[in-house]
Amino acid sequence: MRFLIVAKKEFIDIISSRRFIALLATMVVFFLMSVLQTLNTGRISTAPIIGFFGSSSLAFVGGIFGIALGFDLITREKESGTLRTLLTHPIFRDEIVIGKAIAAFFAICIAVAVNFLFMLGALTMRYTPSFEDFANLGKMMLVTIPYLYTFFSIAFLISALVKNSSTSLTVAIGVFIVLALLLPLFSNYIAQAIVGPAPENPFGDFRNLGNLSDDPRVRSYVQEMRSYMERVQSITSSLSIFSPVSSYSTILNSITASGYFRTVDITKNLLSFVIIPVVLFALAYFRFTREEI
Amino acid sequence: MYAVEIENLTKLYGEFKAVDSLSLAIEEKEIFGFLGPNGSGKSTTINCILGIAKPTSGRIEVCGIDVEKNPLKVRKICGYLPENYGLYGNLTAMQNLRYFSEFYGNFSKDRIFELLELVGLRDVADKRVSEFSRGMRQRLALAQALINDPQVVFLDEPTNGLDPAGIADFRRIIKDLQKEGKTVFFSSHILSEVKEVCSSIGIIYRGKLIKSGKISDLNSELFVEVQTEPKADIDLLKKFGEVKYDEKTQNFLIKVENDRRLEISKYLFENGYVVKELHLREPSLEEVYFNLLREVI
Repeated sequence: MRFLIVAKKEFIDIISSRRFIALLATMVVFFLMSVLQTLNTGRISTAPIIGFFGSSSLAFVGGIFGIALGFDLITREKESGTLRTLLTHPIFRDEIVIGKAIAAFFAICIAVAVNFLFMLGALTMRYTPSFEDFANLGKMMLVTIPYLYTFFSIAFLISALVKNSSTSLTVAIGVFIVLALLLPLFSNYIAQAIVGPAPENPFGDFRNLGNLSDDPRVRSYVQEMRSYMERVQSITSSLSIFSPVSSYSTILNSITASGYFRTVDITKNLLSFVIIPVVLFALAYFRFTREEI
Repeated sequence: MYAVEIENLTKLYGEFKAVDSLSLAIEEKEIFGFLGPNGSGKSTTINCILGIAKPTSGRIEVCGIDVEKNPLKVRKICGYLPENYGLYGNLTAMQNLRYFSEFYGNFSKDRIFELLELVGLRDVADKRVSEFSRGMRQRLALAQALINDPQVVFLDEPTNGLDPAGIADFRRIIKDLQKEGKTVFFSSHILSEVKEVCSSIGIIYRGKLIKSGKISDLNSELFVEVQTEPKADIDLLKKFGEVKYDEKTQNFLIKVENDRRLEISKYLFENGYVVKELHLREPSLEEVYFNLLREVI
């Protein structure tokens, strides 16, 4: 159980660091601002608040939080020479990696719990939250933890791959920009590029279609177009799985949405929050345990 | 049983041979000096001994324990003072030592205070290491290396950056460690340091061990330096050993197996030469070291 010694030390290091406290404070401020802003619009419910978080504040700030937690977790030890010292004591490398990963997980849990306590506090200033509100917040917490951990895993892997913290930070920010901004933005274009051009309207003008709804050419066109859109949508949603931000927004919207939106299948997105961190952690583990120091 | 026994150790980093077929045996309770210029493979050898780096080939045993098979067992009986301290700057001296001691399952506050006392840091136990001077860090790193009361202590350039008082303290501690029955592996590029504390040495250059043995054995080459009036015939002196003539000092340098000054003096006198100067000369460790390096370069 030597990994627990590492986990304990790392956990204390993380939660007592200025970086953690500053990022946590930033998250809390974003949360509170968003809660108060939403409440000021007169909406007395957690649903719009959660929906708003999913698409903006928490998705972005949380991603940065995850990156900030992991980008130098290994490089810092390499740079300061503490890794070499540590390895001369009776501990295996895998125990160090596992200890660090556990510490980060609990630090993320603490950060999420603190944020939600503040959120709950802000809500109770305006009204008494219902059971559904608690349930929604609980679900949001459960999704937010793996979301932050996914970004942590990305940064952790980069930290295991590169030699120094500045390179690790640069690469991690680059990956964050791609996953948080570029991939959601361009996934539709990428999907269209893969599927190819949309079927051509045989009548040139959509306004004429209404009068020709019984025409077999129209039915065929509508069928082709539907199939085309489904293919584009399928690729877009597949690509969005690789963007934790998109997955997070999709899941949060699904948690709070009603009616038509409730039918959105979030299984893939939920799985991505398990599979991506596990795969990235496995890669970091593999790299770290075989690296020449 | 040897404290450290290395057989044909080779360590490759890609195409680069950091350690090349190195074989070495260090007796127990010995202070062994591992000499070599920077980048010669000293730290890589230590890394292999401690199981931090995996040897490309070869076998290493520490106190009879195979490093590759039982790296943790080896680490339990070894202590290591790294060249660049390797301490956590955000933790206090006490917290650093406590953290490392936990891996042995024998955390004892008394033991930590005892070590801090030994290295002269008892008064700053609760100060953050980031606020420490270079010398203080070096002292704490030594305490860290002794946290498990090791049988073999590896010191990598331990006196780097220390002031004279610090160096003297270090020497005293190293000698005390030997008295306590510990084996000390002292890696350095500073000859005077090694000469001061070590009983035997190994000289490594470009990954190869070019010489090892007792310091006294390395200094076994003796020379008799002689100056005569008039200048003696060089062939006359060759009967005592290999002779060189130094134009600058006008001295003959005769390589001898043992002290033959009396015979040389008598022989020269009998042949009509007056001996103006005659003394025995032992090469310093520096000369041995640089001569060896010159031979291999």
